[in-house]
Amino acid sequence: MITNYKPGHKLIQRTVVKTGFLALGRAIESASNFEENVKKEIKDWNDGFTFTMNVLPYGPNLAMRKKNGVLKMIRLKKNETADLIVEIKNLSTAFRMITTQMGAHHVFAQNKIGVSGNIADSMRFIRIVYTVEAYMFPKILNKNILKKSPKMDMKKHFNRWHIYTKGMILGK
Amino acid sequence: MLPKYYEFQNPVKINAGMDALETIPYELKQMNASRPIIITDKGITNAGLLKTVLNSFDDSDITIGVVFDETPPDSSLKTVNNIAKLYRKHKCDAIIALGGGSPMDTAKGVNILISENTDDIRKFMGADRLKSNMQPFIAIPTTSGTGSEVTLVAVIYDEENQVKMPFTSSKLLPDVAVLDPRMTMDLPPKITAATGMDALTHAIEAYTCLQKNPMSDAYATAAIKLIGENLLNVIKDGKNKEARFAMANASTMAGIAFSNSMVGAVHAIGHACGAVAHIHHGTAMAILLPYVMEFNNDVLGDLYAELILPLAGADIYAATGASKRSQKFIGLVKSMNQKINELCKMPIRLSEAGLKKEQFEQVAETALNDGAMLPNPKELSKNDVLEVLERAF
Ligand SMILES: [Fe+2]
Repeated sequence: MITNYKPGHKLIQRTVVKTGFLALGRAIESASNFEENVKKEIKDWNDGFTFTMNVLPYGPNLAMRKKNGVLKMIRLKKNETADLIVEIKNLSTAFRMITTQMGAHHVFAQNKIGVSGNIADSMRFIRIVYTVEAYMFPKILNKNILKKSPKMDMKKHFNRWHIYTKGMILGK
Repeated sequence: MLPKYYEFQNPVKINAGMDALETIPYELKQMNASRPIIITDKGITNAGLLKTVLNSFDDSDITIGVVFDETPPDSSLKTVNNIAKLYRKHKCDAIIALGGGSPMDTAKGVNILISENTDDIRKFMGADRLKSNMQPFIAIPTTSGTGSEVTLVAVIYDEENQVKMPFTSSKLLPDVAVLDPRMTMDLPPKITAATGMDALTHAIEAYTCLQKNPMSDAYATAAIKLIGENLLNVIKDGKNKEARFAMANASTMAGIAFSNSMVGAVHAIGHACGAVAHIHHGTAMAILLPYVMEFNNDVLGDLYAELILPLAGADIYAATGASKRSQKFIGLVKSMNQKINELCKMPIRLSEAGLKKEQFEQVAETALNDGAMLPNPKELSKNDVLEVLERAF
């Protein structure tokens, strides 16, 4: 008879998600500096606007705040709340998302994500993630996670190069 | 194709048909309640429906704690707060919502306030934030369209901050939905038409959007069949009891379908038309539905094609070549609109419904930020929305 069973941990998934969130965060920081679509999306957010994407129940999480017109990754203090809270209901879902097996719209469709905050803000957040993911991943992977892969022109190739080099390393 | 994963929930008991209202006292007792509040609006009182409902309690051991019939057309935070005060003052122990979308949403807001024992429901905005046991809650719809009696969402307007607050939680679902044909008998043709087209839109979007699943498909196609057979008849002859009852069933089934599989771009653009130009929700749905389907057709054509069967029957399905079916389905919806327009003058163009060209930009921007855009399988850019508006103008 098994009693008082305490579940173990999915260490590999956790590490992958953690690294993925970090890369996504850096890419968003970087894109918020120069990428037109991302800049347009965050225009209506006041400085100080904060969003966080948490994996339930223990994380990892990605929290970002608008500061001086651009997005910066931050660490939320205990009891500190955010304007927009996106909660992924379990680690496996976050893992599939970050490894491009599932797009954000699928995660929503499967009811595996919960949002607290304004609907318009969540739509902006999702579009930012879409935009940045389109740069992060090659087209063949994008097909899984985006409803429509954007056409890559010269400028977009330059943006992608920028995000790969300075962006994901330095967040610039 | 089945989805890789889906969730489906409908715990609402449905009491439907002759003398359905008279079952309410028993249901309340089952939930240990005996002093309900009735939340409704002036239109319902003036139409005599409140009186019918009150009379249905005769010879029962229920006391109606208080009746609130001043719900505004858009459910508001202030109203929710006022009603909660009345609820507490009159020691009520259950909620009965009587009406269309607004009394339902308002009642859901009151249920949050009372059950979470709070004075500010804003703390519970968002998805799955409710943790307490809710008050017994019975919904009596008086239109056949919104499906609110079986949906887990409430939208409440915060006048102070001028924002619409969404609340979603399975705890907002009523315990019982009462479909009594007496409640929809006197609906004027135009409202019958618009709300009926809203129900059709719920079913079609539920059947075609990203969250579709075999359970919601079953409800959606059953709803479409009833709408195809009955909507025009009930607009022609509002006293047709059977057709009225069929539409009430259709609307509830479409509600169950879309509460589980969400709606798409028709709703996103329609909500925006409502917010910007105050176009009636059902009317906006009727007008936009065929044009959004035309936009979606290259992605969703196969699914539209299947829907000829429930909407128009096997003969028309079989008589249409496979490659022409999706276009045929869109055409069927258009000709339904045309007939409705001839019968009751419901507008079938955005210009007739009061939208101005200058408002296109604002409608498009608003629509892109509407949550219903997300489950739409085909991505819409601002230009795509503008094009749909242009075509529906
Ligand atoms: Fe609707």
